[in-house]
Amino acid sequence: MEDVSFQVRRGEKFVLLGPSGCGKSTLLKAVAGFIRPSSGALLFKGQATPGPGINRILVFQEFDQLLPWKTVFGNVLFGLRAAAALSRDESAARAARYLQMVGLDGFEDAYPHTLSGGMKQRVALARSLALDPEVLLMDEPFGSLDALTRLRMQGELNRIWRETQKTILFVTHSIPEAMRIGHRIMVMSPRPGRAKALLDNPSVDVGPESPEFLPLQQRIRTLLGVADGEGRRDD
Amino acid sequence: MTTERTVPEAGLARRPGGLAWPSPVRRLPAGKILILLLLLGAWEVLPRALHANPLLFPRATTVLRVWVDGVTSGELLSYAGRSLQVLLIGMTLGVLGAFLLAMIALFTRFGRDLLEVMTSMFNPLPAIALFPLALLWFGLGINSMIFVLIHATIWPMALSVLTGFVTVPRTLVLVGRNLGLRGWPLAAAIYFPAALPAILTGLRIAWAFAWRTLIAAELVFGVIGGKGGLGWFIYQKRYYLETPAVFAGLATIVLIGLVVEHGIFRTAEERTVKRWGMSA
Repeated sequence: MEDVSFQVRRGEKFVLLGPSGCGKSTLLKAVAGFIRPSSGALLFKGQATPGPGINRILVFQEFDQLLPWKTVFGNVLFGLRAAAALSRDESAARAARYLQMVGLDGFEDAYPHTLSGGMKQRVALARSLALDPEVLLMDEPFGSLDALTRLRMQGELNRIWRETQKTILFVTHSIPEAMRIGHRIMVMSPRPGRAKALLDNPSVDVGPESPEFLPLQQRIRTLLGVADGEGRRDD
Repeated sequence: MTTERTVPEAGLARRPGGLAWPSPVRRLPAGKILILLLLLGAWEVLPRALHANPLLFPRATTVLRVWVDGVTSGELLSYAGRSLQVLLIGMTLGVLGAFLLAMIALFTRFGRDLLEVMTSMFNPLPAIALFPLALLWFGLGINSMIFVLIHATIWPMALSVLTGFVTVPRTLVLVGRNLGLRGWPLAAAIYFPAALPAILTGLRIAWAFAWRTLIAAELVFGVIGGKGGLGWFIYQKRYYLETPAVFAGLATIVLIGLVVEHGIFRTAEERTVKRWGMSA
């Protein structure tokens, strides 16, 4: 990857959009602290980021990010007990609150393998949010869901963002998803991974009715080389 | 806001939390019970019909009576207890050693090569074949038993544990690291529970090897440390031509095997990895 530079603002939803191989997931893992950039720097509030930490929590695409031997409640509690300096009661109360936020109250005692894909990702989201990270990193979190569930989860994420005002760094290869979620969208290209453009998305809260929607969509498609004719329906 | 509470899979989540203790008897289907009864019936009828010498082939009821006597007098139980005690010591040491080996193999190339060479070398060699050597080294006593039991358990167990650790999902490890866990806390929170299916499989195999090895060693080499186990019981009874007692000893070996295999291991699996949807 070369020559990628961007700044994520506090409280915004920032989307990295690009085809596979453009390094968007690698970038996210570097932000999370799992890998060290071979050159260049990652600054978090002006400071170089050390290894992984709970101020940057990553939500993965894979369903196996949940601990299968713990219940839904146990999974959320696990994050809090492992990382946050909270008492048992405080942790439990917080876990319950965030499970309610993602709409899973009533499923506390279920084991992950009994849940649908969408519900599993809700648990992962609740576990991450409960830690109150400063940045929520999301690596194609809805990429393994069926199309309808995916649409519903995008709406849920926007609602949760309105409630929590979390800073979210979101990786996807879906143009509609990027446009529905990102206040700003960084379009990337592969081999070598490179940032092509950083676009403001004024249509994010309005949707396709916004006058800016179609021109922006056209712009992104052109940047990604999938303008009319080639790969019209992408998702 | 709509949630997915109406999706069909959601109903599965409503399973009551308290699973009943699964009884091995309740799991037996009628067909298997019928086969067992037929076998017992044949055992009772055939020796008489064929005029078999009762000294060589006693009837089922005779064996049953001797078995009940042996259990109520405590004789069989104390022999079985001694066998299980030695087995437990040997197997515990073997399993602990296996975890140590698997850890070394997980972190070093040398450890992995060592484990592979040792397991493939010792795989065709029955543990019992080492017993004469063990007698030379440790003498006729419990130490020789423990030596062969460790040998019988450590290699297959280490291989299972290593497989378990290696196949822990990468994402799960990253989740743990994201929470700031590393080293021992990471192993305790993620690696060990995630490797539980393989660990249980390893324990099953280790138990099966150890149990067979132990009985064989007791049979061939007789008394251990003054007092013998079930194998020694059978050996003695054969010497005095108490054939029904020989059968009773064999039945006890089978029964203990069944109880451990189905009662303990299967129950452990049902309460853990099966319940969590982790078994393959």
